[in-house]
Amino acid sequence: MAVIKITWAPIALLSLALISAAKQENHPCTCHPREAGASGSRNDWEGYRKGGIAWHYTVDEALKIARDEKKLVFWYHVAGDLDKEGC
Amino acid sequence: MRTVTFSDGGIVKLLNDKFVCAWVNRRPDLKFMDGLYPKEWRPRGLPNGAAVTNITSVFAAPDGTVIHAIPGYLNVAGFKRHLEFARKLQARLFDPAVKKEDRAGLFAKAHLEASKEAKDDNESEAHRLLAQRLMRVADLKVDYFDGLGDVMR
Repeated sequence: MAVIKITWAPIALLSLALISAAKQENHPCTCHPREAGASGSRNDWEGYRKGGIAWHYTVDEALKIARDEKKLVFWYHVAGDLDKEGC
Repeated sequence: MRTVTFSDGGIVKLLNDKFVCAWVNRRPDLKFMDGLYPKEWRPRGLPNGAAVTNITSVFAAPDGTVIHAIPGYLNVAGFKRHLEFARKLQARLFDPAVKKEDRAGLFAKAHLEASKEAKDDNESEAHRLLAQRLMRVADLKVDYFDGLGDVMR
């Protein structure tokens, strides 16, 4: 029995990892409705990369630049778990 | 937002031309604790999307005055509408003819008017709650960045 456990444990883990990876590859974003011109796929970075928004890491950093450039500040709060989903 | 609204050419241009942008990741357990809205408020469903409890768009003046904030997913038209509201309100508040002590009143009036014209209950409530006080970024707890922003680079 011990031999079976040792043999099957890594295979089971590998299978789970492969299933998870496959789901991530094909799973569409469900955080918002699909709209014309957007794939809605969480793996679709193409539209975002084109022209891209210049994001800063912190609001303080953005505020300092905004004061110099006389611009407003926009910041986007995301719960960490959602960000991992790529939305 | 990333794959739809923030990928729209018009939005990208508008944000890059008129705003300095920051992406802030909050830890999920800190939802509703940033101080933008009363802790007990739980926004519910927007007609055009979801994620009202996970994402918030915030607009601030360069001096750190919070001009506007709206929770939830916004499509291109919705985001543009809120962005323009923020720009117009900022221009009114910081008009040289407006005294500093009059800003809070103007801010409240603008948000209450917007609350009446809002597209849904959630948006209306967000405006109504914001009207109650003129906040500054320093009053908020926004330093929740946890490193996940690397995916945006």
